[in-house]
This record gives sequence, structure tokens and C-alpha cells, in this order.
Amino acid sequence: MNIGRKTPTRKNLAAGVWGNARALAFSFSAPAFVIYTVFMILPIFISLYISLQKWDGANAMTFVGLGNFVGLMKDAEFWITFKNTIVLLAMSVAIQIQVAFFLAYLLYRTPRFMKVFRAIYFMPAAIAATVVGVMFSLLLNADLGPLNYILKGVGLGSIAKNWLSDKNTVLSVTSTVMIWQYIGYHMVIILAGMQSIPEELLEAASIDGASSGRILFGIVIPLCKDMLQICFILAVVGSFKAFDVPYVMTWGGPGMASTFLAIYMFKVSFLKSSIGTGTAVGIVILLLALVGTRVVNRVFYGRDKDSVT
Amino acid sequence: MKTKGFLMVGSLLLLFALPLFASGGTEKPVTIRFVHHDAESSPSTKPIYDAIGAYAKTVANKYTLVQETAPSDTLKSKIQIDMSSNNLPDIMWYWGAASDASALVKSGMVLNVDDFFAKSGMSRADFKDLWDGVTVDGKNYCLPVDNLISSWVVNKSLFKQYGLSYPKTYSDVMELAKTFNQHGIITLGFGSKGGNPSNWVVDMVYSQYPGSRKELLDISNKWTVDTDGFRKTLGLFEDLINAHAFPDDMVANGDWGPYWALFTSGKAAISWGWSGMIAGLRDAKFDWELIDQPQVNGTNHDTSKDLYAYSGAGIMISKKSFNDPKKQAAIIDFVKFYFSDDMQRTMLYSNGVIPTRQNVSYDASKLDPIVVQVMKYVEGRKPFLTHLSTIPVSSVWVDYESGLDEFFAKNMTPAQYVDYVQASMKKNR
Repeated sequence: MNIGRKTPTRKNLAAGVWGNARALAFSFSAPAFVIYTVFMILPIFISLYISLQKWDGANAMTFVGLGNFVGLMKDAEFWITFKNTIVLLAMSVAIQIQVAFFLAYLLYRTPRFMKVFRAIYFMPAAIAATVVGVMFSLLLNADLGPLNYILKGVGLGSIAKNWLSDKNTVLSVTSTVMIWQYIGYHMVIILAGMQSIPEELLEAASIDGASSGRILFGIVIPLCKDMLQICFILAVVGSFKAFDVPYVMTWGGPGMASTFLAIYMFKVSFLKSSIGTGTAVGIVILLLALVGTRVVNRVFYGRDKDSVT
Repeated sequence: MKTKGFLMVGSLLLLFALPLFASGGTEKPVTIRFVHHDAESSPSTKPIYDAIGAYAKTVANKYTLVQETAPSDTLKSKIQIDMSSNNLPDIMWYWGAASDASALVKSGMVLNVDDFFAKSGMSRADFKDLWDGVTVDGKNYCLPVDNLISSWVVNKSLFKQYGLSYPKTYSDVMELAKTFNQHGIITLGFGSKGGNPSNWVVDMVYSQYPGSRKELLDISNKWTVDTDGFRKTLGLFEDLINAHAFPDDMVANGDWGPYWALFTSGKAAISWGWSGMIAGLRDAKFDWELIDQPQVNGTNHDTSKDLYAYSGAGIMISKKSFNDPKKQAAIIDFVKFYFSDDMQRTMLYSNGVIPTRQNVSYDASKLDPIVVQVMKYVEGRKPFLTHLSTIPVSSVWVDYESGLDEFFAKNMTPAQYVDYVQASMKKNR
């Protein structure tokens, strides 16, 4: 008997359960939502605000509207760094993922010692970028390093160069080092995709007489599409963020020859104390990364899935 | 269920509120933040870090001293971020020349040293005359600490091996290069990455030209580096580059570690280094000797009287903190401790930092004999001025450094380099 109490109707009960479920869902997602908003979304809006100001970090901000962006468009050094970053991006997309895919496929098809080789290929990605920078600075040092010594030793002295001081080689050299470092990283991602392909599918294809090439292009690549998409996005975003290796190796020099957008952003913000302009460079990097990601999505899945990802 | 919930929430609130009640009765000691680069992790700077830590314990009843450290490279970024977020440390070790401190000074965030002297009882007379290196617009906002001395040095064994004499002039250097190049030896072991150490070497040569000191002091008024002496200096370096007196790969051999490695590995015949670096030569597998910088032909400048020293960094105080009556006494107390005889000696013994205060006695037996040798070598010499200390804004200084890398990598002629720096001057004036 329910004396003095209303008997809950089916509608009230459902509303209560639904309300509780919503509250529960909200309470679980709230911490992540708050953290993401405070540390990711809010800084973007703050950066956007700062990019519209003239500010040295110490004195009062002066609103300049799009002045910092207009200034960048007129700044020859910005365009040099932009061109350098595009070169790195092109090299990453054209070389890094392809080599990573090739290595992953090799390991996938010849599983003997796979774990050992996988660890070896991945190792550079686990080394701190500053260590990689120092290591290659020594290796490529034209006066003391072993590379030119070996080249001269095997009769190829004519191609020995001042790798890091020659403005014609320094960009490709620093880009190559960064590409080399993350080949293993992409390889592991692609390999994981390959390993998730059902064995029966490959066996059935073999029984049906499919050639290796047919299996690769008809089964492996299509089923690794998602992983390849991730790798391309990481390569694109990584190119726009490239900083530590070239900074350690050359300080972005000589001059601007190996300065990428992220290095330029750092120098302008923290060494030249033009935080407004530096933040504008940061916003440009963000926009380029967004556009790059969208282009990759469009290439992989066309218009339909683009809106999802 | 409901009661349990209330109890839990109530207990939590009480837990958070307890410290508020606890601190309500007594006044909490004021906290002073000191940011510096003498990290606990390095054996040479640990004694300094520990001494500050020990002092913090002795004054804990008066104020809480918190030390934060960052390596020199990242200290600038840290202070920039602190400055931008209006969270400047109360006291900090920082670079006091205009090229680094102009934004801090113009914003009025840091204290003029004269205001500190007026309240602290310390005075300019307590310090050696090292103010040139920490001057912004003719005023000082930094109490000099980082008093480093340096010297030119030769690989005596290489000179003996090839029967050569030490160079007296830069013409001699070019002659030496002919012989050393035949044997794969680098005559002048320098590099240029981020303008280091090339900017120092350029200024050492520039200082030999008559009027260079005045020209450097005039930069903040005239906004020009384009002087006859500076162009001649760069011209001399162009000749040295063309004579292959330097390493071929100036960028790869640039910055402090790599360029010095050319000398310590026996690959370079002549170089220049700070006393701490020279002290590292105790383990060298060759004989070495300190020499005077070669003379620039035609200048009649006596390099045996030159002192290549640096005191461009030191203690800066937040003006806001100093004007806070609760913090002022604590800041004065700590700064006095930092410049006490004991601390000056600690810095000297552990890290080779020469005292910047006058009349600090020390026990030479506690010093590395090589540091003593360098200290004797520089006695009676007078310090030189650099572009680092006199270029008025950081933007120009970064371009100056970056352009030097291009110049030494043979991507710019002297005229192009001067034009490049002048363009930066015009843009950032």
C-alpha cells in the first residue's frame, strides 16, 4: 500500500529513468568535456584573439584587426618558411608513407623475425628529436662527420657537400632526417592495419589464383585504407608542426633556408618578442592543418564521409 | 541514501575548508619566486642550487623562497611566457642587455637598479664596472652576475709539428691557413649557428678598429651598424673564409659545443673559449697555450690589452614585487644573500663565475689551475663592447645572428649582410 504517495505512472517512470541516464551520461562526459574545452578549445579562441593584437608580451595589447595576417602576407620571410614547409609536406606525403607501406608489407608477407625488424624500424621514432638532431649534425658535418669521409673514400668525393651550410642542400637534408625518423611510426600503424585483415580472405584469394599484385591492390590496400588515411593526416599535420630536428641541426638556417612555419612562429614569438605576429603564424598553421586534413579525407572517402571525419 | 550523500559532500567541504580556518589565525610568510639557470641536475651548478636551498631554510620563518630553474636556452622562453601571462618571477636571472631585455624594460616590469640601491643599502660601488653589458637606453635594470672571461688559445702541438709560429696578425693567419689546409687542419676553429660563436669573434675583430666602441654605443641612437669599421671587419672575415681559414661547414660546426669540439679533438689549430671551456682542456691529448688575438693589419691596436669578457646577465627584480611592501624586505634580503661573499665564492669555485662584486677574496687553491691561469692572463686588460649588448631590440638581434650564419655560409656578401641588418633596423625601429 502506498499511503500518501503517488503511484508512479509508466510515463513518469520512463522520464525519471531517462533523466537519470542523461544525468549519468553528462556526469561521465563532463570531465572530458571540461578538460578538452579548457585546454584545447579555449586556447584556440585566445590565440585567435591575440593574433588580432600587436603585443610584445610585456606592454599593453593594441588591436590591429587582421594587420598581423596582412603583415605576414607581405613578409618575404614568411613565404620562404611557407615554401619550405610545403616542400617538407610534399616529401612526407610522397616518400614517407610509401616507404612505410613498403616496409610494412615486407614484414607482413615475411613474418620471420617480424618483431625484431618492427622494433628496429620503429626505434628512430622512439628517440628524442633533439638527439636525432645532434646525431645527424655530427654525421653530416662536412669537416668532421663520417658521411663526406666515406664518400671521398669510395671515390664519390665530387658529391660531398657542406650539407648543413649549403642553402641548396640544407632543406632537403633536414626534411629527409625528419622523414626518416617517422617512417617506422607510420609502418607500425600500417602493419597493424594489415594484421587485422582476416586470414581467410587472403587464403581464399590465393586459392582463387589471385596474384600477389592482385592481393596487394585488391585486398590489402583497400582494407588498410583507414590506417593509410591516419598516416597521411599525421604526415600532413606533422609537416606543419616540424620544429625540433631542424632547430637543433641548423637553427632554421643558414638564414631562413631550413626554417619551417613552426620554427618561424617560435622565433617571431619568443626571440623577437612579437607575440601577436607569432600567434598569427600559429593560426595559419592551424588553418593549414585543418585544410590539409580535410583534403586527405576528401581524397580517401570523397564528399560523403568527409562530413563525418 | 540521501543522508549518506549529504554526509559525504559535507565532509569534503569541511576538508577543503580546514586549511582556510587553519591559516586564519596567523599571517602566512610571503612567497618569493626566484627563477634562474643553476640547475640541481648539473654537477657544476648544483652547489649554487643547494646553497640557495639551504638559505631558503634559514629564512623560512620570514619568507618562503621558491627556486625554479630552466636551462639557459629555455629560460628565455620561460620568462617570455611568464611575462606574457603577467606572472613574472619576483627575482630572476636574465639577460640585461637591450637585445633581450628591451620589452621588459619598456613595459616597466623590471626595477631600475638605482631604485634597488636606494632602498637596499647596496650601491654601484659594490660592483665591478660591468654595467656596459647590462644597459638598456643608458640605464641598468640588471645586477651583473654572469662575469665570464675568455681567451684565445692555440694547439701548441700542431704548431710544433709543422714548424709554425703563433700568428701576430690576421695576415699571419692567412699564411698559416695555406700550410694547415694541406694537412687537413682547420686554422680557425669556429662555427656559426644562431650567430654563435661567430658574433663574438666578429666583435673581437671589430673592437680593433678605431671608434668602434663609440659606434656601438651609438647604435641605440643612430640605429645603424653600417660603419666603415664594421664593413672592414666583415671584409676581413670574407678574406679569411676565402682563404679556407674556417671550417667549410660553418653551420654544422656552430654553437658552443660543436665549434669547441673542433679544437678539443685536435682538428683546429686556433680557437677561443670561455674560462670554463678552457678548463676542460686539462684532459687534452695535445699541448696548448693561451695567446692574444691576432692583430688586424693597419689598425695599430694592441690586443695584449684586450679583455674578452661577458657580463650581460644577472639579477633582475620585478618592479611590481619590489613595490609590494610585503615583499620588498624579503627581496632585498635574498639579493643581498645572492651577492654575499659566500655566494660569490660558491659560484666561482663550482662554476668558474668570476665575482662581480668588488673585493671578494677567494682561495685560489680551490680553483681549477687553468681557471687561475686564465684569470692571471686577463689581469689589467680592459673589456670590449659587443653588438649583443648594444643592439636595441631583440628582433634586430635575431636577424643579426641569423644573417651571420648566412654570411659565414657564403650565402651573403659583407654588403648584403650589412643591408640585411639595416633593413631589420628600419623595420623594427
